[in-house]
Amino acid sequence: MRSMREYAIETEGLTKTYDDVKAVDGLKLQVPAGSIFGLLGPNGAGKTTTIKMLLGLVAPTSGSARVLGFDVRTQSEEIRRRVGYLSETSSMYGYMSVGEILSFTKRLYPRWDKSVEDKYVDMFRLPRTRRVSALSRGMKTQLGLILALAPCPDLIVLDEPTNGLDPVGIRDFLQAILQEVSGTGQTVLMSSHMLYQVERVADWVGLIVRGRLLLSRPMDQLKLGQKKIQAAFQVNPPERIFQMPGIERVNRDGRRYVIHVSDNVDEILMNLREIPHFAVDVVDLNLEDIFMEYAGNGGTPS
Amino acid sequence: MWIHVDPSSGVPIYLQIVEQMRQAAATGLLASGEQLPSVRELALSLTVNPNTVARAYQELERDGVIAVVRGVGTFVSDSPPKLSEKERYDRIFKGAKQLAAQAYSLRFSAGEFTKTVRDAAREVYQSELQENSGEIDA
Repeated sequence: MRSMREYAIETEGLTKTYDDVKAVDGLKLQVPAGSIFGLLGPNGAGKTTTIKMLLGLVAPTSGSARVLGFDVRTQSEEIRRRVGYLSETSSMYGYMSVGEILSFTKRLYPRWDKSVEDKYVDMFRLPRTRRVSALSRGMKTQLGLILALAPCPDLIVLDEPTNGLDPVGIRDFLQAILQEVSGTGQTVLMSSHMLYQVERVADWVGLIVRGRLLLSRPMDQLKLGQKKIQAAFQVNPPERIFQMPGIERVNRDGRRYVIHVSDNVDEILMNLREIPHFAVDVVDLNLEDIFMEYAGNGGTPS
Repeated sequence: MWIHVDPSSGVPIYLQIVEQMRQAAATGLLASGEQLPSVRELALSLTVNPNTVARAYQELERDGVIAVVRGVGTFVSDSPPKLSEKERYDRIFKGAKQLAAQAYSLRFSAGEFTKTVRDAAREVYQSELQENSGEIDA
């Protein structure tokens, strides 16, 4: 029986400083239970450091974090027993064979599901007798996924999970996650800089840049809200129109305007179109565009 | 599956599914009474989050495009949308107004614009028009 907690992960002011550099800076992250949460950000943004703090593998400099209700500072054993983790750099025992590492890991988890193990060993065509050190990078990733899914954990953490996979491999990987997780109430936290993969499967998105969480929203809401309006007016628009709620930023070039909107787009459009204009057009933004909006200008949203 | 989602589009995936299903039901590609895949089946075949498909189905059910029979399945429906008169009107008026604004900015005259709308309506309402051998009122 899985508990009815609102958030699988909840951090407050979570900070990690290496020497004088803040790798993670006052992070307030809330991952809703049962979601597939895509943690996005450029390389070096602090995604891996965050994940390691959540699993109790790195001690926070300050702030707090609870994972599945457990404190990362004092209850990391409890957390690791309930979390399936696929790390960015595979740290499996290379001298073991595929079969050995599976049965070794199985003994650590009471809820291990042998049918999940068998299904994906077959599907990924992993040779059970081959040493882990002799597997290709993609096969190591696939084995890592099985090790993260088969324990039926309450939380699955995947750090840059699709490293080393080709497009077909990526599709199979995402399918496996959806297949095993959907309807079970399990939560998935998936970090990536590969946006289109996340765009498919994630229902929540968090964007982390320079150790700070710049936004965290349901995927659909993010795409519905974030728009760019390109407009050219025949008269000077009243300045107050750009004070409407939802308008983040306005760039003007002569009579041409680019209006960056994070919410309330329909009402803003209606109002803009009442001004005599040559054009008022909406541009839909995909995750990459939104990402560039925030990450591209040094991490300040406006 | 004949539904195609483009995750890199700025249009949310649930809306892409809604639009394609609405279109398919309107053109007869989906016949009324036909059974649709379950949320889970469709999510897996498209490799998208099941919540996304569930949201699309909710929207389609509210609009009367599909009907969910609990414990049996999801079917294409020809029942009227579960919307109030005002919601129904507002939805179409909003789209029409945006379209009109676009036509205006492309220098369509009011006459050209309404003619274009009539042309489009003639294509979509084709089968109904043949039955009644009628014309669309201006």
